[in-house]
Amino acid sequence: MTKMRPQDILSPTPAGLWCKAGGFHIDPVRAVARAVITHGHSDHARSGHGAVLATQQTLDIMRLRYGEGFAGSTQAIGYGEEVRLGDVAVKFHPAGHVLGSAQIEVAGNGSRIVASGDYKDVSDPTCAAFEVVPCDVFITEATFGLPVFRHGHAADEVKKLLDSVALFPERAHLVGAYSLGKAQRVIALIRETGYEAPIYLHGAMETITYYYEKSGIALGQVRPVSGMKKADLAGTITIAPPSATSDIWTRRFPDPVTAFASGWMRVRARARQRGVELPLVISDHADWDGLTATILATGAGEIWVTHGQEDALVHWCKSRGLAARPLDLVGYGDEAGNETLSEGEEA
Amino acid sequence: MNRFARLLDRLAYEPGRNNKLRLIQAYFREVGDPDRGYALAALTGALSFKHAKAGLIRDLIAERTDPVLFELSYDYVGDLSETVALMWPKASSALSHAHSGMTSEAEQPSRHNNPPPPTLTDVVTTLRTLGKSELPAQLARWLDELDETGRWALLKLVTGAMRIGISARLAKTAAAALGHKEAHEVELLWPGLSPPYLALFAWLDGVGEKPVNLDPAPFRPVMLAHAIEDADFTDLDPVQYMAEWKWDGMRGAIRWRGSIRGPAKTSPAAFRTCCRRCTLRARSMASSW
Repeated sequence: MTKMRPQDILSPTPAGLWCKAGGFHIDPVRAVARAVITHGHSDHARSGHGAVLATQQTLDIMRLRYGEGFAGSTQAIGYGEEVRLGDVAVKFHPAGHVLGSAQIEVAGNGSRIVASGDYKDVSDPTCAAFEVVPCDVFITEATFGLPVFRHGHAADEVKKLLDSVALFPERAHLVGAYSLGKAQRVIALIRETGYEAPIYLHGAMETITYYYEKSGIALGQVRPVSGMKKADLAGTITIAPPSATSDIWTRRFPDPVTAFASGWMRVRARARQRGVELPLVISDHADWDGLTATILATGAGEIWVTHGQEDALVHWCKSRGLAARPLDLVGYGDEAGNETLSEGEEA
Repeated sequence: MNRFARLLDRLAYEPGRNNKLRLIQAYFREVGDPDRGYALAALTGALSFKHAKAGLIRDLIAERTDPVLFELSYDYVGDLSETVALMWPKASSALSHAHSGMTSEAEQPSRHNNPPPPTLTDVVTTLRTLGKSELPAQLARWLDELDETGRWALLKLVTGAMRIGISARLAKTAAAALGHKEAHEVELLWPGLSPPYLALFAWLDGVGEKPVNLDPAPFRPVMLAHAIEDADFTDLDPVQYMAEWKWDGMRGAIRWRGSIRGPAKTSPAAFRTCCRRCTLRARSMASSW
């Protein structure tokens, strides 16, 4: 049998990346018969598929978000495990993005493609560390695919938050963070500094945060903020969805300081547009240095770039002599402007 | 410099006046002399050195980055100083990545040899004496040594455009509050002081005497004028007052110090021109009424 070309293994379609030889889609944006899912963020994990293959955590998260009937049938797979689907072998590797997130390696007759989903290559106390998977074709995200995005150390950003809490003990600090992954990582990072006071949660944060705790991730004392008296919230930290921090909901807090934990906070105009007073550059995606270092480390000769700033990353790959092209997939990481999206700007 | 940069960074996002004061005061308390004095000078616009032009900064970044990536980045960020601050190549940043071991030996910087980042004092005192031809190389060295926020603040400082919404008055108010003084007291002393304001801070810290302004014609802020309402006349005896038109925006103070007229740094000729302009403007306004 001749060697399969990469595009015979995976190809972009309106529903998402399609593997003809295996009869499945990766992170489909529409309901399909068989879906292989990288992680639980809603732009990657949608409900209504016939069968879903994902890590146990991703399946649990989908169940918590969409209810019991989110898919016809499910199959859990662990990191490092391989299953045979049609003519290809599918193997999951940690992506370091959020709890349960995976890169999906698809190998067929001599060709190996890794669909990395969303990933970050820096340490995160709340999920398994990213693993470099050698491959022929690497499919990379490009959320922060511009050389201005360099996230620095998350610990420095958390120190900025705690310095502010110390300087303004009469004010409440509201930290905007996405409910799956970012919120729990911020809490864990705060705990790493030795901060022991209770951390309060907006209602939308509770389900996933308690799931993280149940999965064995220590987050210290976390409590719902509802029912707290305004005066008692002085000097406290509350984690809330980003949309809530500019909402009437903030009136229950004494003179709140609005923080936002996101890689987008690296660019001042972005922070200002959102009325953020304390931007915290903490991202669940690889930054420019991370994207480029990872691409080189995989040893892949061909790079497919999806969702984000494809142009700059494709240009960089070509300047390094790597074949690269944008994968024009739609429906992921819907750009920042849309404040109402709960997950669209996961960053 | 990095600490000063963090102050500027926070001030740039903080809308509330009292919160700005708190942030500046915390900086003055936390940071020693002479850095805090140069910070006060920077916030009040009292620093004087030849500013770098945007073209110089463009040249520096052009030597170090791919032009296509620079243009895409500049388009996205929209501000030259910020774009350069963010994309300035920093060898050590690769170290924070988990698999940096995969990058080649040549790309592995040795962190131990890095000089410490410059202090604000280093920057200000060096810039005062630096020749124009030495500026690009010096700027590049500092940019290598500072973090993202530090680079942004440095570029704002050397291009002379801080734009962080802080008035000189607000910075003086924050300094005064260190010693529980009114901003007015600092204003009266101000023309006799120069960066890094060691005597001023010593006094505000309670460890030094109040600085004495030896100027023979010391500065007095121009008196505020308020409109008189009809009701005020019940308490005013017109015999004791002299009425005078208040020309909006055209008050000036003329000081006589020995044989020199006018503000200390203005030549008599320039001063005469200024007075003439004011008079002409006053006349034209008066005739249009």
